Amino acid sequence: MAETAAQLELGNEYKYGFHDETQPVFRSRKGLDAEVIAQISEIKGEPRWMRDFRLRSLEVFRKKPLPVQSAWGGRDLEALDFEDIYYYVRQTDKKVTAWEDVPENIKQTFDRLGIPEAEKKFLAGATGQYDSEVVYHNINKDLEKQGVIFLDTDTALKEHEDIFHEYFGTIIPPEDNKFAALNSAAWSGGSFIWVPAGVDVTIPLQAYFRINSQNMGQFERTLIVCEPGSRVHYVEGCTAPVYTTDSLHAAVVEIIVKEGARCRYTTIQNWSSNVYNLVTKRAVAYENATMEWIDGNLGSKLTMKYPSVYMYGRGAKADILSVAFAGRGQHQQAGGKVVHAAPDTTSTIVNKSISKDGGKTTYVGLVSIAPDSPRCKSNVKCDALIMDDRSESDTIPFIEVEEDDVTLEHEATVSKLSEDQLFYLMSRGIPEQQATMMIVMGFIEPFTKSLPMEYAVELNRLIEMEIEGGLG
Amino acid sequence: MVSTTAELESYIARLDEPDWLLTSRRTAAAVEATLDAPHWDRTDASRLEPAGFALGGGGTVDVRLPEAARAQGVSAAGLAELSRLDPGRVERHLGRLVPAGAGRHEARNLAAHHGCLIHVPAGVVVAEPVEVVYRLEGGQFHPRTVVVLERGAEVTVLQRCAGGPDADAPPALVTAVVEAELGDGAHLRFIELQQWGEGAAVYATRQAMLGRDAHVQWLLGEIGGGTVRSSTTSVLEGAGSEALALLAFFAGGRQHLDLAATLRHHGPHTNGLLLAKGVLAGTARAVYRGTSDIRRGAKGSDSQQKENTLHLGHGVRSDVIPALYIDENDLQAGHAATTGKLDPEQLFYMQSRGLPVREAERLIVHGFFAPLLERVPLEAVRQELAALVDAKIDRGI
Repeated sequence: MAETAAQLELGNEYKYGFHDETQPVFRSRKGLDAEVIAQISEIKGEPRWMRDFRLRSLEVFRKKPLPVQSAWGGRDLEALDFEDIYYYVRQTDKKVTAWEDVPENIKQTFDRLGIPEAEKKFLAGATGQYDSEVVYHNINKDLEKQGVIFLDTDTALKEHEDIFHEYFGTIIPPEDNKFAALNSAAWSGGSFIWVPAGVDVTIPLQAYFRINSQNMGQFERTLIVCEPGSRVHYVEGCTAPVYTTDSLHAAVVEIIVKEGARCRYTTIQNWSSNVYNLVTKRAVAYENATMEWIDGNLGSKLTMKYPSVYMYGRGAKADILSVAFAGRGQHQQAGGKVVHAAPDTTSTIVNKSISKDGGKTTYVGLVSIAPDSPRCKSNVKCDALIMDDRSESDTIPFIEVEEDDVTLEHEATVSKLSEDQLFYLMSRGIPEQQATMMIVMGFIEPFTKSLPMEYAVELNRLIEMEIEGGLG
Repeated sequence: MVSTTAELESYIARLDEPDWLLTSRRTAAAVEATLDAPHWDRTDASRLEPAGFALGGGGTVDVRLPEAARAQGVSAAGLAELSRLDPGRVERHLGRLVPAGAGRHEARNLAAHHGCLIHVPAGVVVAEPVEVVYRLEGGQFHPRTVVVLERGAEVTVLQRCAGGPDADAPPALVTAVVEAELGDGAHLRFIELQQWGEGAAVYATRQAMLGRDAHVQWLLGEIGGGTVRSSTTSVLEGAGSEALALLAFFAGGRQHLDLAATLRHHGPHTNGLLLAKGVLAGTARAVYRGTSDIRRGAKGSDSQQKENTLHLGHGVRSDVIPALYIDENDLQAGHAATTGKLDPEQLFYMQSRGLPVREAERLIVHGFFAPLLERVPLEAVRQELAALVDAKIDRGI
């Protein structure tokens, strides 16, 4: 806790802004070409089809324009320089499963993030991603017995190539968008989860991601397959140290939720304020399946992220719950997409965004109801809170309906911090900062209450620090 | 059949008008030539490309100014006529809010316009509506209505847009522009009943600029046209100004309506409300874009949007995009949108009372539009719009 206090005194500095002096074992040269991609594939010892997939994706990446004119992109992307990025860094040669074997400097970083404590308390299996390769991996014996596969994506490709090949790239093909193409060409690390039919994974699976080398792109690739009737909750947290030049994070997350299965994916993302975070997350949900995205976005310079659920089976259900906090120099462009492509499907999107100290939040969302999908229901609620007169907030929802038998509701509000509420609390003797905090926490309460407890605590602390930083 | 810039210039050269007006037309034609063809999402811009329509044809302009209003000093006349009678006024206001630079269609309109100017002197409150009737004959038609309200003036303008080819006849192009300048404290109610033939490709831009405490109310009935792209913008420039936009649209057959309503809050304590209600039948498609744009400095403003779409058939598609762009924190803004079908219980109830399906649908459609029309205190207009809806239902949607 002493350390937390010390970090607070840094004021507007990024709260987890430490970085270790790392000596990468291997680092590809800056920029991206077929040679770099082939090199990555060779070092990883990948099968031929993956190498070809990467090279094909590189071509797609080159041909796709930056989506600067699209609502799902924007002019903020123009500052990206793809030639000034390292596309692959490997920290250490060997993967380890015992904590004692993790190299000391890497361990220190994890210590500061609180991973061992978290594990002691609650971990089912932890896959910490340090730069591009997974260095620490531990899976709960119970899960192994249940037949659950929880590996880093590189290892999964080696050990379970058949399952991997069947699903990889089927939900988000490289052609989907420029950043998905980039990820498909240069991906490294991420999580792979396969839950056998009927298995209920009762404790959340967790992984930490970090970017550590300057100018290093990080392109994790996560693939989750829930067989019929299974259940899993995956939790991903992100934090990165401060650097002077911009880093790029372009992850791809593909999820398949089969008949009657249920998947919840929780992210608390807190990149430092120089990171471009351009993520493609998409799930398909089959008959009576449920997909839930819980997505918290703090930090980063620019985030563009629209977790999506494509409902392909009758009775499928989608829930997207997200919160965004934009402070000075930050633009959080977060939202969600739900596509109803089967009858009796239901979706809910709840978005809460807060902008402060000149930050900007943008909600971009899509509700699409395909023809011949009767009795679909969709409910969208977006609320934005603007904390001061330098900050901004945009809301851009797209509602596309090609079916007559639907029930669709969309609602959005934008407001300032309520002076009435503030006055009331302060008249009861509560200091302004604490009163502000109470109002903000009340505003995002629908989000925090759906988080695992330690994440709710962490989120509260992060927001507290953001508010203190601004007011102090 | 192609109308090139050269054709446009020779068209202008044949007009018998004062030199300054011809120069203004030529300038707009030159601006048009410098602008790229537009690309829009969700609507194929090539369907509205002027080069695809013969420049001849056109249509007629009919302006009806009540005698009492004329006695109050209100003037309303065709632009061609007014350009001789009061050239200074036309020159001051024509193209001021919607200039050629706004886009290719706006430029084409300013180069080839027919139209009228309505001027209400300061403090004059006009009791009866000033009526404008545009009738499309074919080819290309470019009506432009310029409304100027001096300080404290009040008027209702009722604009009817009709005529033109049916869905299966050779198509025609309309670009329709409305420019409305409201001085401090002025009140304008602008009603447009848009019932162009369904063979018409329609591009419409309507813009109002509001002074301090000015008030604009739009009532737009978008019923006709084959492919329609229309945009209605209220610029709340003066402190305390207010805009209310009521949009009723009803599309059937193969109609494609792309309708935008925008509130731009520039001044402090400005209020805006967009209410849109749309019914879709047949294989019609509608795109509705509601936008609240609150600029920094528009403190204490309130911008709200409500949109309801009713789907009457299997083949329809509606896209709703109610956007909020907020650069100010001292404000209230929100939007709510719903999409749904005919309530089967209502339908069943009415059928069980012996009403045929079509009559039951008719009642439901009227009931759907009623909350919007209730805000229009002109019984005749409500009845006229209801008659347009009935006629459409009778034709078979």
